[in-house]
Amino acid sequence: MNIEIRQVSDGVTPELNRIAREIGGRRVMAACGKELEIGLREHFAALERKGNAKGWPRRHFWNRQVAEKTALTQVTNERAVVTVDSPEYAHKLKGGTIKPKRGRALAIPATAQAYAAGSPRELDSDFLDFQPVRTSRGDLIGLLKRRRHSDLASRQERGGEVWYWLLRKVTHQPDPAAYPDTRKLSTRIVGRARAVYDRVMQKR
Amino acid sequence: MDRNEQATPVLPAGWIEPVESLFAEIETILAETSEDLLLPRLELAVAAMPALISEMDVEALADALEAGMGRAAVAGALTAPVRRLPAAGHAFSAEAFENVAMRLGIGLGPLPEAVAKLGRRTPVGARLSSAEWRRVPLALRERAQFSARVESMRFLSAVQEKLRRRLAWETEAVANGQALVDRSSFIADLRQIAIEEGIETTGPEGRGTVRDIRGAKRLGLIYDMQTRQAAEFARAKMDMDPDVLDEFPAYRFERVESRERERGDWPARWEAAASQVGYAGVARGEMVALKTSPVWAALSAFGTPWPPYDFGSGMGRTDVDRAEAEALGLVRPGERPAPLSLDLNDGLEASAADIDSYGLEQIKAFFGDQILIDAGRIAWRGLTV
Repeated sequence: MNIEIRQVSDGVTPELNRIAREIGGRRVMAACGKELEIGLREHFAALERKGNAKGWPRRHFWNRQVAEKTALTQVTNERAVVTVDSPEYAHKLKGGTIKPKRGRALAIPATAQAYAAGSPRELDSDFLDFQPVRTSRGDLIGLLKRRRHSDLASRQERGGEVWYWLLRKVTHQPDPAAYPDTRKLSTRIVGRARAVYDRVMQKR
Repeated sequence: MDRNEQATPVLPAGWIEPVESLFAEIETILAETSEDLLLPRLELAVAAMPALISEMDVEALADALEAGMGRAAVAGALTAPVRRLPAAGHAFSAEAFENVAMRLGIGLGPLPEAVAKLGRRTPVGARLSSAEWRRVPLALRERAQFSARVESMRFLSAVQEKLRRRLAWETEAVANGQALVDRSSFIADLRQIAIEEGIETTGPEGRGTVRDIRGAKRLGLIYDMQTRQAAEFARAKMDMDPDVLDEFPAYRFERVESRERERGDWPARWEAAASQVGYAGVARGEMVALKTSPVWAALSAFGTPWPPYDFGSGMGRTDVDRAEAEALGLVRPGERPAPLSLDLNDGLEASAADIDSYGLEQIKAFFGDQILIDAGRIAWRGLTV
């Protein structure tokens, strides 16, 4: 598994070097690495509070798939790394084309109920019917619609509404909001290093 | 006569000194200069090399030193790695900074401690309910891959393997190639296995609820709980690093995920847990406690100090730094909190001495030959499918 490391230095390095020479590298890197973890989690928490753009029932992506999976994993005299255990977040950062690995199509929710339920593969019962879409171009190949019961009285009970769009592939652009502001992070990190320095120098 | 046939060149006395000075100056520049000024300063330093080292001397020096080092030292190749840095932006590996610069990075990948924690579980099948499983000693329960009322080893082994792959970012073979395990594939695949194994954990009245092992609610809960527990353990373990703990010695207990209907009793549960542990390491008037306080385990419905603290809970922990912890009276200035070991048991063992004879008989009855009781210790045998 390749792990990508994105540097968060932006002018932090000389200041951290100076402080580390005076009070010891590991102490500084531990504090700054933890500050980086906290800053990242707060960034993800802010995205979590925004909810989804359509106002559909929340699935808490930014907390469950990203913030909760973010942790400081490495501290040495010279280095600190915070790891985000989230392939979904990696996709948000990089964008790209998704093709179905299981089945013939990607199922994109068309309603709040479908979004709340998740993938059609997660549904407990079989109440959706497949309707092919014959088009000469584009990636839409079909629909999953709620089974129709024409003998039932109310329109809602009769069914027929589209729950999922079925697409051959979906292409996402990188999400600029996904990556934190590294300048703000750098300011926090330097502030933390200085706080550690001040505390240690006061004791001496 | 070509250079190769020349006698060993006579080097000027003290020839190494300017080169050594240049190396020292470059090292200082690398340590103290911001990236945007780095290249110009380095180029100036190299250009200012004393005229004593003429072009002819350069060749002589290069022949006298190790070939690669000599060429690098005198031909300006030392600046070549530095030239690559601006073009590579944030993704550079910066070998030139290896022993000099401080590096902070954000990585995308597995949490090693989370993978290791899950890897220490072994599938254990039993008809026990959730409440009955909670009476199994924590050290054993934490090492078991179980699900209430499920006995199928094939199902439990699949849960273990799929979660392991997810945490390790390992793909599995699927219809159209290889894919990472995700929540929806976990639910779909385990549901299929439950059907094939004929596993029923509830009657018709429980279909689709968390009691139904074939339902998305139950299977999703297994996935969410275990991936969260593993990640939170990884975070908690690093938080016990002495240098991390010294700067961030406490947690605040607060809501990290909204709910349509919140459990309103968390403040009361906090007070009960704090009282149970005699307020050891607990701040008064706030839901804040030292990371090493026993209140965290007392608060949990599962007995573990890290989140989640109950099924489907949106409560979690945020870090409290030194300054705030001192202001709350949790730690004295200059005091370094002693870390706590979070490995509940290094082996697959719990002490049989901690369990009464009735409990031991029950454990034997429940688990049969999956469990080994020997010389006062209890351990899972680690049977797998």
